[in-house]
Amino acid sequence: MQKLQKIDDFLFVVFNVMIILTSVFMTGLVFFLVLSRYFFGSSMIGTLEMATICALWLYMLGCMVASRNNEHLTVDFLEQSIVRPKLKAYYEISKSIIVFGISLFVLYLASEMLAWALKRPQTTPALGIPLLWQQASMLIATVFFVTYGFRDVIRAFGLLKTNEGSE
Amino acid sequence: MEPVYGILILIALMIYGVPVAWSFAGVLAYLVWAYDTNTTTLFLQGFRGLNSVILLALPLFILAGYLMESGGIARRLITFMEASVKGRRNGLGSALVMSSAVFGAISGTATAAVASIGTIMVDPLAERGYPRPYTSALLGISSLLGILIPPSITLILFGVVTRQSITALFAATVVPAIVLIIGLIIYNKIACKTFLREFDEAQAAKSDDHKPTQTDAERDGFWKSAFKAIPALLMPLVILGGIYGGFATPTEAASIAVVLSIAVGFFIYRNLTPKRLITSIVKAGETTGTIIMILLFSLMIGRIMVAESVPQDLTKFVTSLTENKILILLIVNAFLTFVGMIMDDVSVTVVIAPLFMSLMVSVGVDPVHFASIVACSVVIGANSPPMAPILYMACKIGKASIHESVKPALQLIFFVALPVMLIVTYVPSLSLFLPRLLGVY
Amino acid sequence: EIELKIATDSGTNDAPSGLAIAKWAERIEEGSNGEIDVKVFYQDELGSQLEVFDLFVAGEVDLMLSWPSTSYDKRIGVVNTPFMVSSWEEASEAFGHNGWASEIMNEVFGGIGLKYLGAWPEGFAGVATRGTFSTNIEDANDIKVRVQPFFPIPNTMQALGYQTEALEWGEVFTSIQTGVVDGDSGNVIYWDYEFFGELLDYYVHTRHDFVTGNILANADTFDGMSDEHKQLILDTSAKMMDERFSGARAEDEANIARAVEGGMQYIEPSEEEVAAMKVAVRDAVWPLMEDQIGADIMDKIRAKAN
Ligand code: NA
Ligand code: NA
Repeated sequence: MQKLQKIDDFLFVVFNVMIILTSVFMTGLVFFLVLSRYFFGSSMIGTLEMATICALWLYMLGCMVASRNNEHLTVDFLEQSIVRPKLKAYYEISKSIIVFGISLFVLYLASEMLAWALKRPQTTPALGIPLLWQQASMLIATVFFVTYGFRDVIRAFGLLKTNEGSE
Repeated sequence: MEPVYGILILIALMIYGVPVAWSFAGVLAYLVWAYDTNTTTLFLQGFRGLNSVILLALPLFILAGYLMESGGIARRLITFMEASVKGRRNGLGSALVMSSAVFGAISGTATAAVASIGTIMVDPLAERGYPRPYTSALLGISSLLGILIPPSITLILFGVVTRQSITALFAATVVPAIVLIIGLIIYNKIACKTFLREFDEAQAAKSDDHKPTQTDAERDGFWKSAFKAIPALLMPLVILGGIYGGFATPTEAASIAVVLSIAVGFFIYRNLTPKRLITSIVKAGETTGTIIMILLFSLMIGRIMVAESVPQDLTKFVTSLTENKILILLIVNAFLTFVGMIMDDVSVTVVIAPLFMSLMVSVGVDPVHFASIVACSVVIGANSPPMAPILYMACKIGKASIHESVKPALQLIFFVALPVMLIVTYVPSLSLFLPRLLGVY
Repeated sequence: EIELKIATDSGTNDAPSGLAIAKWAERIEEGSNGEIDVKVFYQDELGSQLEVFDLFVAGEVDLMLSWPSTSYDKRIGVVNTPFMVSSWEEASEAFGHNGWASEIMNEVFGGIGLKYLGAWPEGFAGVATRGTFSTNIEDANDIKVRVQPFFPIPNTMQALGYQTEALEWGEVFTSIQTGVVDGDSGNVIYWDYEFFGELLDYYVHTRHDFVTGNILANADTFDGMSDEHKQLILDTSAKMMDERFSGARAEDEANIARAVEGGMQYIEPSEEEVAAMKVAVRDAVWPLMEDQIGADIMDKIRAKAN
């Protein structure tokens, strides 16, 4: 368990560093586009393409961190209204299983995208960068969605155990 | 019937407490099953939607919003607005509204405004007689000026999913925003009379000499706070001037906003530190992620809906009920208000609005005008329980109970926001006047 | 009953391309005696240009009138080869039935699982601008035009002297209005007048590119059809192409007249100016195309092009 915790901490740092890097590059590239237009008269083809590649990674890293921290927008009044610990545990178990199931479906969709990308590879229009470089962000993200979904299921069952101990 | 079941499943999942993004993914799974959709390129379509230069403006404006908060730009603006009412207590509510408006001109979301303005203004207002629930409700509604006054994340999302020009959409909601500002200021003038009198009577009965803490605005006075606010006030000029003066596209203007807010925060106000900068970037990334995840699944749902001709069927259904444009608009108003109660602002913008687009076009409603109607309905939706993320956030920051804030919030909606939405709906020129004047539409 | 989906990425239901696919659908339905049911999707109805093309390559759309992106195969960029043909006569010879260009197209599209059924020409491209214009390479230096980001379109316009900006179609109007760009490039006058006519002052007919849509079928769909239905698709698409070839030139001329009437100034560069452009662009762009598209294809073009 402690080892998993360490891996998670490490990954969290990696995600945050990557969020910072992609944000800086994305902003820098778009800003450079504006500057180059005024100082060099012409804008470099492909600047926006690189900026959107950074953006896509940023989007997915943001999604992953939000999933890790369970910070996705949620309507929580049902959760708030359940006070009995045991009922709450059952509620959390059911909810986490639903999310986990849905995340498996999303993983399936992502695998279809990967299969298609391997069957018919594509490149970006201006720079000819393989599209898979961008799509990889979404593929990785969905793997983490499933992982965090599974983690939440385990946690929810843990809730049941601690309650049984206390009762 | 599949779309109806889809919406019912969505509501059920959300109310059960499944995160909104995952609720959408759940509905997506249902639709794939119900329509037996070919999934070869479904996720790829979601990717295509996200892989857009126009959408780049979204993370950039979100980042700019966080930086303006941590860099002290927001505080200078709020202090200046407060100082300009010269200590009149009934003016403090107006100052809150005006702060939201000015803040809205540099930030794309409502949450940034709630956080900055709430943190700075709610306590001083409470000390001077404004009940916290009322202030939180007023803050909740006014902060939504941030999505009516450009730049606006909501309108960027609307433009991305409906393929409308962001520049035109940004201009469409400016006049509606002014109408809302006027409405809120008038309402506040009337409402505050009662509670300020009650507060004074209560104070007199207690007869203690408790003096409220001095605020920045009282300390600095008008001229000093105006001087300090100059760099902050130049920001909207640069951002909007960039877009409408032809120097930059909205995406480029967003990058300028980020760079400027870093520069101003570091070198002029000196509130920004490397540590705060990093925290802002990480927080902005996470906020972006939560919005993008909803958008991603919505895009895929939208693709299936379109392939199954759902918008056309909806158009046929509604026009079979009535062909009267005013009635149809009323139905749309009612529906948007209703879904706004149970859904968050992003979801309404990216899922519900596009469904109605073909209906709107078929009865002769201009897409840019429709964007304006949707934006006004989002102001209501984000503050109408049970799903009222902005109101709840305002209560959290304003240290008010959600329970007590619902009543003033509903009053503000009923007497101000709803009438504004109706006016905007039935007077198209309010929305179309400025884009046409600027020649961007 | 078989269901086919026809789509176009450019043109709403009342645009010439939209009308053309509607007619195509009608003929297929009639010709099959009701055995085939055709659903028609116009521009943006199934998503952006790239999205519709994804659906098409994957077989979720069966037939298309397409101005395709180069994302699946750079060689598709051959459809944008600058100064490949210079007159309607040359174009008709190259792109007509069994024309030399058609053979190249067949090969290129075949590589990504599409069957090339023929060309659907629009005419020769030009540059539409506001406030300023140029008929030669030198004067174009101060002019910034919108380009599609597909290779070798930006390279072509840069070789013609212009500054380029890749913008999505939806942002072009406001970008011209606010001055981010001075105009649009690479289109026949129809699009520029129809969408930006109130903003643009000049249309310089550089004729640097022969703009044509491509009538295509998903190869899996096509191969899965009965011989009778295959023939029906071939006949109806051939008819669509022939009608277009005989009508397109007149239509382009009518569109020019309409734009001039609407206040746009129509300018034809002199023969010398066009000759200079032709040399400059071929020198700069064709070698690049050799890298991207392959020497064998470019050799064919070199051998045939005038
Ligand atoms: Na705003
Ligand atoms: Na709501």
